[in-house]
Amino acid sequence: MLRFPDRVLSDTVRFDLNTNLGNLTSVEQELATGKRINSPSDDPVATASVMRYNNDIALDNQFTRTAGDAKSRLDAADTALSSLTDVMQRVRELTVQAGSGTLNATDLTAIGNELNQLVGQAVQIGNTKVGNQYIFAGTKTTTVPFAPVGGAVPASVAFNGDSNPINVPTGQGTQTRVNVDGNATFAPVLSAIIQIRDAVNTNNTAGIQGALTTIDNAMDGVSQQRGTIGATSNGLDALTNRISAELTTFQSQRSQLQDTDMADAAVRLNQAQNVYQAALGAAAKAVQQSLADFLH
Amino acid sequence: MALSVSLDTGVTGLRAAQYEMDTAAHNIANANTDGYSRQDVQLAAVPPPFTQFNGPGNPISQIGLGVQLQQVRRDRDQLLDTQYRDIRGLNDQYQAQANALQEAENTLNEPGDQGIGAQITNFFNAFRDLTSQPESLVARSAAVQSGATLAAAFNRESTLLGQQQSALDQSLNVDVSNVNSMAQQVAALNVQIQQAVVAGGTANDLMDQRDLLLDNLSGMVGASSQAGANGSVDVIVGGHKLVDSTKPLASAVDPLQRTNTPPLTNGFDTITWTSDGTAANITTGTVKGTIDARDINVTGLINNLNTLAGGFISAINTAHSAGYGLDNATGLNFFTGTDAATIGVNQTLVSNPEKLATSDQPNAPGNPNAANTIIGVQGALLFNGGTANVNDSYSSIVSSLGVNAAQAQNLATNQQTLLQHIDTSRQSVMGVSIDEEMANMMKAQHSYEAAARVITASDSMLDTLINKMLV
Repeated sequence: MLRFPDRVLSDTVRFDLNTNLGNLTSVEQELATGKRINSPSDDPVATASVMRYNNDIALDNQFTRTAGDAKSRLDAADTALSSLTDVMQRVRELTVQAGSGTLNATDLTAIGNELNQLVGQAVQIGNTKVGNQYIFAGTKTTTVPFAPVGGAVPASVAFNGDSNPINVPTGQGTQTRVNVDGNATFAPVLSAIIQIRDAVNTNNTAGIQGALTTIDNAMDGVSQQRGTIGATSNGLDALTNRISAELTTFQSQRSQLQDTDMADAAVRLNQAQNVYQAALGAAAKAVQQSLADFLH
Repeated sequence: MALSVSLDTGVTGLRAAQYEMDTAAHNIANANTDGYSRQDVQLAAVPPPFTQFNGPGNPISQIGLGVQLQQVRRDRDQLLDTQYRDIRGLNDQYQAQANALQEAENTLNEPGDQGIGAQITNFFNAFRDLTSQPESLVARSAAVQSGATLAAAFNRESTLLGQQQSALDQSLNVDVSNVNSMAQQVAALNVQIQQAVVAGGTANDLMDQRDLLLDNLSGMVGASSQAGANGSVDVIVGGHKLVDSTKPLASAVDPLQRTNTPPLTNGFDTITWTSDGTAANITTGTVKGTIDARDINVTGLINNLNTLAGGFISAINTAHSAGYGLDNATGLNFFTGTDAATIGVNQTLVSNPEKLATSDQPNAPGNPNAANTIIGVQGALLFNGGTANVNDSYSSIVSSLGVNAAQAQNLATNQQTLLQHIDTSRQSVMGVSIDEEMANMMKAQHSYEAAARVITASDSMLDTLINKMLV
């Protein structure tokens, strides 16, 4: 006959209550933290995936931020080049007027003066600074890139930057160029304006008329640059959209792996509570009585 | 037959009832004593005396002379004891290992946004931010700082794991002296039990005490026991006698000791036998679990983190030293140190963030190419034999720790359930049932009353004979 000494009963009660309480605690922790995985041993494989998603999500947020910075830099360049186009439009108008051959010397002097001012304006645009960066100085972003040479009526404009690209990371292993070649963009424009100014100042009609082609070519160059900027900027928009879609996917996948299914956990909590209470009740009833209660 | 015989017989009955009562009282008193086995009284009838006048042929000689105490037996199943001790060794081993691994998991604090994994990503992201404005001293300081935070995370975990390792090692000292003290108690009990057995008795309570010590010894070092002469036992650990019952008490125990003479295990003192200095072969028990956690799990974790940190430091330094700072400083290392314990940020960069190399050319403050090269390290397959990048390599360290911890927890849970079952079987043999003892008490009480009545009746018969017949 199998005996059931008191010790067996109390030990079993203790073991079972411990086990039940352990289950209850783990469900409660899931609910309290909202996470199914609270340490790697809860699910080692899912832990590795969660860590990968954590990294991917942090990277995507970073790429979004870098793409935003890149876009604002490109926008600044585009705005500057748009102002440069306005300057060149004005240069073209003045060139057409000066080349018509109907102006007197006073008018030509006035046009020459305005063209000289426009050289200054173009230089100013070339020296656009965003934050602490000269955006057309290549990688020498802390150097003023364009310096007129030769006093009030500069004979030329020196370029003190370089033509190197600035590439920023906008994806794992992919980079986006965020600057335009300042020298290649501004040098033809500046030399064209100086050439026209000098032709106007010397009343060289043939020179003025010939300069029209030069200024048109320079304008084409600027338009091309703006086209490149626009394309890059669109590319960044597309990237940001793609990243935000990807982020949603990553977040929902991570959530599936690591987050508690609240409804399911609530049910399990209920079950664990019931079992624990039942065990407590049974223990209380079972240990209540012995033969001693009935002896006198 | 003399009338006074029934008086004597009645007295043996009284005495027997007294023994039963005493034993029931002893059982009830020890119902909750650890390791106590229920005792029961074995009685035997006293046979009639055969003399030359009173031979077997005489019907009178067939009347016995009452009852005598044969022995007080303890109810115990040796087979269950052996099974219990086998499982107890494994249970305590896995429990110790699971606890240590859980602590290591808490140290790593993964998956989360405070651990090394998140700090690695933050480090590279600070450099990504830096590419947008390499001229900015604020962004430079932020990048340097992110390096310092990552280094501090490596340092902190390396320190905590080192501390855990020393704490595990310290606990072995306590365990070893516990084992020695328990062995000493077993040896002392052996002597007492032998004396009792030689004198023809049993020593139930002493044997219970010794069995409890043997249970605990198997939990500590997986000790097994084998019966010696006259109720004594030898205690054996890994084929070596911890307690040798054939030797005198002073030399019966061969204590375990920690020795710092080579070969050390993993830089820590080995556990050896005092008698011959050979290494103790401990295969289960808390001590084995602690040694495994110290030498395999925590050491492995520290080594993995060191390898990761070492590879990371050299890759970042290679990329950084090729670049140029705002002041054209070049050839500088970003990190100092060689592993998780020693990694730190080059202090020159902390006080002079302009020296942080972001450009791949001199005189090009806006050039972010050196920073780009550093960022490229994140995706490079530099670890695990060229199969994993830094994040994946770290994740695999964390998840393999998780696998080990989960495995140890499962094994511990399984062994615990098994142990509980065996202990239940064991307790069902040796445990005290209050109800049973109550019944025994009633039985003893009634026997006592009946024996007393026999004496009263004999008394009255003697009275009749002496006072009434001879008057």
